[in-house]
Amino acid sequence: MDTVIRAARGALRSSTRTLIVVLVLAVGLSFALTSVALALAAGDELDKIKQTTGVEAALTVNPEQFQDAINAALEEAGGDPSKIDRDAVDSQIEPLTEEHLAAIKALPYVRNAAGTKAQPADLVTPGEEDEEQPDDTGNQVDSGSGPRQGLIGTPPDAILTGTDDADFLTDFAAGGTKQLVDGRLFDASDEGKNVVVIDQNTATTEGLKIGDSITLEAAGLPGDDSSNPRQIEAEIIGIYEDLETGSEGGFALNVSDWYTPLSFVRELQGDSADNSFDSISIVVDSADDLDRLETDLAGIADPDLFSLQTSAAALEQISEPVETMRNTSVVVMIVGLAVVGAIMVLLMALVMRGRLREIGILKAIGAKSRQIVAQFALETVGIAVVAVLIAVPSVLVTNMFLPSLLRPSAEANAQEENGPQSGAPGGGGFRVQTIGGPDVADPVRTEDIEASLNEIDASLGPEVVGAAAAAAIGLGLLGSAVMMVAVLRLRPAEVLRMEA
Amino acid sequence: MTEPTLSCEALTKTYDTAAGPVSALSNVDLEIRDGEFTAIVGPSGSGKTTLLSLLGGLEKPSSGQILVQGEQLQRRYRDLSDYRRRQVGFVFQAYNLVPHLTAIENVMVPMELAGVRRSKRRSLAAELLSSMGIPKERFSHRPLRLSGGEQQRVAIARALANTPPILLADEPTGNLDEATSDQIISLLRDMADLSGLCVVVVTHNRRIAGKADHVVGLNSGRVESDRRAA
Repeated sequence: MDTVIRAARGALRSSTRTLIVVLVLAVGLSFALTSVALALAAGDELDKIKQTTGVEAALTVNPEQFQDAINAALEEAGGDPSKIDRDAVDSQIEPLTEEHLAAIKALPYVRNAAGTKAQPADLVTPGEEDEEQPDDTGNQVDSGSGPRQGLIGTPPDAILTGTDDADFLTDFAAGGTKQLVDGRLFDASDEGKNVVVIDQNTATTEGLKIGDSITLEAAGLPGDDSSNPRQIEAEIIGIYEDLETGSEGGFALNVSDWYTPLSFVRELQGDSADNSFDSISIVVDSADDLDRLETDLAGIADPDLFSLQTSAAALEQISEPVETMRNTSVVVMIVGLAVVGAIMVLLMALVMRGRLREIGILKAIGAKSRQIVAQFALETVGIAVVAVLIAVPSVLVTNMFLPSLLRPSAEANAQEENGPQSGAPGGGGFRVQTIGGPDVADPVRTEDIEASLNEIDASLGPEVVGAAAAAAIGLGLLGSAVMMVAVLRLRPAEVLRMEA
Repeated sequence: MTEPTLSCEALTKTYDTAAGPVSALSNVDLEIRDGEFTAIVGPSGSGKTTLLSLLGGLEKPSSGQILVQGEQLQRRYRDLSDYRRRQVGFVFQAYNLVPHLTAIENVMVPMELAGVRRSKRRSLAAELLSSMGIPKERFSHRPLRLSGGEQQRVAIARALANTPPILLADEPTGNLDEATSDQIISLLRDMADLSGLCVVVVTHNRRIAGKADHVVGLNSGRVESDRRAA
């Protein structure tokens, strides 16, 4: 207790000097603590990103399969595209099946998986229908030539994406590019029902609303001369707004994305017993599982026939600026602490010079070195603790400007990763429509990177208080070390001989 | 015959300097007895302060030995700070009081280091200061607000705080006027006479030497004379 009092008296001996020391330390510590908080927050954000980004993958039929089959059929047809046997082409293509899906779902780290199938479709307006008659399922089937068959150069009205799990429609998730403005998405209870989710533009143009029935017709691929496309009536259960519409500028295909249960797409394709998929969407537990997935999939689906797209690039794109910010924060923290440490050592050295006589006196009257060190250590730690007590709330002040100085530019990162135009609002990029698969290869948007960076804030959590306590102890020890060296080296007889 | 309170045999001290070893003391033999007022005199650089520092355990000899009541100092006290705290009181020419502590607090510090209870310390320190002629109202003054004489009295009180058997004083009157010097010397003389304290004073002052029971003359690190009053 007496040592504590003597230490306090020593620190207050020159209150102005002590105040300056405390303030200088507090400012330096405030910067260092803000950087600690930012580095910790960036670390948390990185963990969060790894749980949500880079966990998606899509297994699709390798486009080379189509190319090889068409080439073979073309050769068979003597080079005349009109004589291509489409069934022969189809039979050459190895599809993804329910067996593939079951094997993927059985992998221990696969959180979820679902098959998707896409079909270009046209909206049949009442005036365009002709000679419809019900088929054996009760649906109306076009018996004659379709009014809006897909022709070369004529795109379909929409790409109809069917999936058995609407959770995989990631565009509809919070922060996604599509937002339901009316109705709902389909769920497991809608499997087997003819329901559809359409875009707002079509709904407005065609005067459609929730509960209306529309007739959809399977559109052929360009060059397909099928003369008997199927038509099926479906109920509109949801209307969504495309949040990216109007922001893309430049040239874009006017093809809408509509969504239905998988059974509806198969029905429209005329084969309800079909168990194939265009792609299988996969979500794994962590981005770290993607490598294992790639290895395991090689044993499930022939890599020559099926290709795997992962969102690893997206993870890299979104995590890189966060990692940059974390690393910068760590550097600022180290520099801050080094500066504060250097100030502490210099100040203690200065204090030492002024107090050599006091140490000499204490030694001469019988104080043990450890008693003297304890007194000065308490004095130093006391100064450091007061500085930390000021620095901790000061983090609120430094947090107002330091994070923005350390935060890398999200736009610059997006441009660096995606090129100068694509992904950025108003960039005039042309976004390729992915048919049936998740947008795993889509570029990360500037807003997504910005959102991640904005999540990183220097909050006053227990970690910061812990870091502050560690800083106080560290600085105290550093200052005490200077004292200890001086105390051990000091020869009182020499010091006390000097004139006061 | 009883053992002397403090003695030294063939005491030698050599300092290593950049210019080479410098001999400060060479083969000094000395005996200081109980209740004796000893004056160590000699010209500047004769080794007076070095001798005092060695006797007080502030420095270790290069060779030779110091005996405390017949026992070798470093055998009896492995940690010399124990010796300085229990056996010796120091008084310096420059007073050497802790500047940010009050007069009474300065006197209390050695007691604190010796583990005297807090409640007892203040009363003992006040008693000592009063016995040194320091008015009560000056107890709470810091050293800079005290006169030179008062500071030296406080320093003597501090030196006596743990009732050591030996008091070592290095030019205790060097910064004081003649009248105050006389008062301080009388005080030290009384301590030797009345309390049986062994007082060793390093001085240039012939008048102080004249009042001593035992005068040791040093020159160039050697004992030139060693005489006791009849």
